[in-house]
Amino acid sequence: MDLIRSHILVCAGTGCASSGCKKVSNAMLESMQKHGLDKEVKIIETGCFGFCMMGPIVMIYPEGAFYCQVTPEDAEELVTEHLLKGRIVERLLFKESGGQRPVALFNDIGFYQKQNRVALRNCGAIDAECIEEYIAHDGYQALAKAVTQMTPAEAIDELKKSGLRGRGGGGFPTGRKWEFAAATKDEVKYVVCNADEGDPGAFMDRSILEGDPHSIIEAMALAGYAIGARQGYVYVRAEYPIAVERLSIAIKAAREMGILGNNIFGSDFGFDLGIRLGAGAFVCGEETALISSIEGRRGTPRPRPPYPAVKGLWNKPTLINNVETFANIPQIILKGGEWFASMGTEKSKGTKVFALAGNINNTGLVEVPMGTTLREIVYDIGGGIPGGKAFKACQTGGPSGGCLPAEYLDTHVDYDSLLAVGSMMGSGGLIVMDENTCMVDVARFFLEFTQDESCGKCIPCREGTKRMLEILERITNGEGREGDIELLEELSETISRASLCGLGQTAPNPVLATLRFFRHEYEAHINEKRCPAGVCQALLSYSIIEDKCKGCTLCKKACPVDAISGDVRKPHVIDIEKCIKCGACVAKCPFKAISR
Amino acid sequence: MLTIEQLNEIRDRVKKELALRSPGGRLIVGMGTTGLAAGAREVLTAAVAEVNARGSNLVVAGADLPVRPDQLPAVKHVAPSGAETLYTSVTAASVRELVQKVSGKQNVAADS
Repeated sequence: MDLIRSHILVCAGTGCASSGCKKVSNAMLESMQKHGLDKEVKIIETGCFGFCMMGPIVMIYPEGAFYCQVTPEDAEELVTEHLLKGRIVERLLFKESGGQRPVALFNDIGFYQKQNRVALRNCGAIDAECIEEYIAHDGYQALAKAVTQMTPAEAIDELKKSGLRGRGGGGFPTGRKWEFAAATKDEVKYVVCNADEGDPGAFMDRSILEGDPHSIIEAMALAGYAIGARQGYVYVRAEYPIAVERLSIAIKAAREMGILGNNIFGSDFGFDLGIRLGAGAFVCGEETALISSIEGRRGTPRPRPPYPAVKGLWNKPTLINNVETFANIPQIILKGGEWFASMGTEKSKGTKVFALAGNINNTGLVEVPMGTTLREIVYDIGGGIPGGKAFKACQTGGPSGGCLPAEYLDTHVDYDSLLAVGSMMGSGGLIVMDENTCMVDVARFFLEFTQDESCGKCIPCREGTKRMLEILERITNGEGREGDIELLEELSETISRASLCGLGQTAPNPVLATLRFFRHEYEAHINEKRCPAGVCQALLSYSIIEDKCKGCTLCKKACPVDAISGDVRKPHVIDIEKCIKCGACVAKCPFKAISR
Repeated sequence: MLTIEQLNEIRDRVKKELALRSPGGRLIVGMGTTGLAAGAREVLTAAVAEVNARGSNLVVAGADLPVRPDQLPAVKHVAPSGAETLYTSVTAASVRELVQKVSGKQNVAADS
């Protein structure tokens, strides 16, 4: 028997992989070998811990010490101090923003304290490539319970009791979706996992696939049992190579162990899974486009009804759920629908994972009970806005969602509360913006995205988003015209009402939301040719305020095109002809002597 | 085909291996430079070997215990209840006895 006395968990999610976690674990192993510790200490590469900005993250048990931004050069110190001498290496621990003392334990960090990890329960906690670790965390117990002790109808009832709603954006009750698919009579049915995560900045589905792939396999098998399907497909984008690799390993392990295949746990039920790779088109997250793509055709949507539950993959009844939705299901079957329904709000049960990004101190993945306020997410978990800047807005729901200003910070995050204030839950992207963000430019960014991703099948989306983007581009270029706002509103309504699928129907949302709360910024761009946030370059004109300038020369040195001239201790001048409006001078000036 | 009994057997076996990632009883060996010089490494290795041999769910950890140098190697037992007991001048042989002693209590505590 191995004499293992310590486990080193190295985050090997995509975020930490890109910041060099592999080099860290190699350096740790090398140092352990040098000190003869490699037979008593085990390195485990896990999925995402969620705290991506602090990566690479290394957690050492049994102490549970949570080390952040570890480099290969830190490995020797961690091995000799922590593993050999039993001393915590304080300099690598996390320090709260403004806090003096480092925090040793993961659960004591503010970022994690308000979280309740259900969908992410195993991410960062287990070796994602080891089926036995998943089993040790009660993995496959829900499947065993369902196929041996429950009828398919009882499993669906449990799901309905839980109140779980689709986490991909639609928010449709999952139990009812399963019921529809179960009610359709056919010899052949399919279960599909929609892992075509495409919202800019969102990566919760990727993290679940990377950190806990067996939970998706188990949930899909449960779905197969409940609706009467024997085959499932995970549709995942090829841009997620680590997720695809870990899922492939997990499926193989489940097959070899006899968890996938015929007579699962001695029952008559059999189920198997395949992976289908997508090329990363945003529209393929729409279920009918996804089906088309799996079938080997171009990923474009088709009108509904018939819904996939009636006529889906290869015209057979198909149940499609998103990754995060599936990740909740084994726990619901195991602990009961009432347990899940005890979390959240009246109409939005359970928890929701958000990808926290933008102008915020703690970026990463957070999972909170439904009903948590935006303020708690942004300030208590996210640690607030960097550089002491003011909060301006947060974008929820990705390109289909809306921007909420500071007065809505106490909005409860659940499906209905967000819709009531003109935004939406979406798949869980949450982008925080500070005072230096131009809301017209934000709308232009999202329109550029949806216009680019429009499949072109229906005219309102193909042509309408193009025209809207043109208008937004001219406004941000200082060429906005009288009537542009009204034209944007008119186009938005037409596109929303006439587009074929969710992509087009929601594409105008960022424009409508920013117009609702930040109309004055549009008006300033069009009427005064001014960008209040100082972002739209065409509307900026840099000049040095003579009274404030001390002649320190820092701006002159920072200017990449030598557009600033002046002698030491005398006010400087910007040559507007040469200025490229890069803002380097503003960033350097210690006296706030440059206006734009 | 995997049976439910086999699934449970894997769960229980691996859970034991993963016990060191869960909060619970600890046997903390005072390491540090002076601890290592006094033979703490041998004590730690013997403790881990004994825990494994007994299949105990006791977790062995290293730490820098604040103990007088002449009392080293030292071992602190932290019970699941949080109660702490310090043992000084421990040897590889005596730590094996200690593991046997506290493992019994540990298992009783864990079962109760």
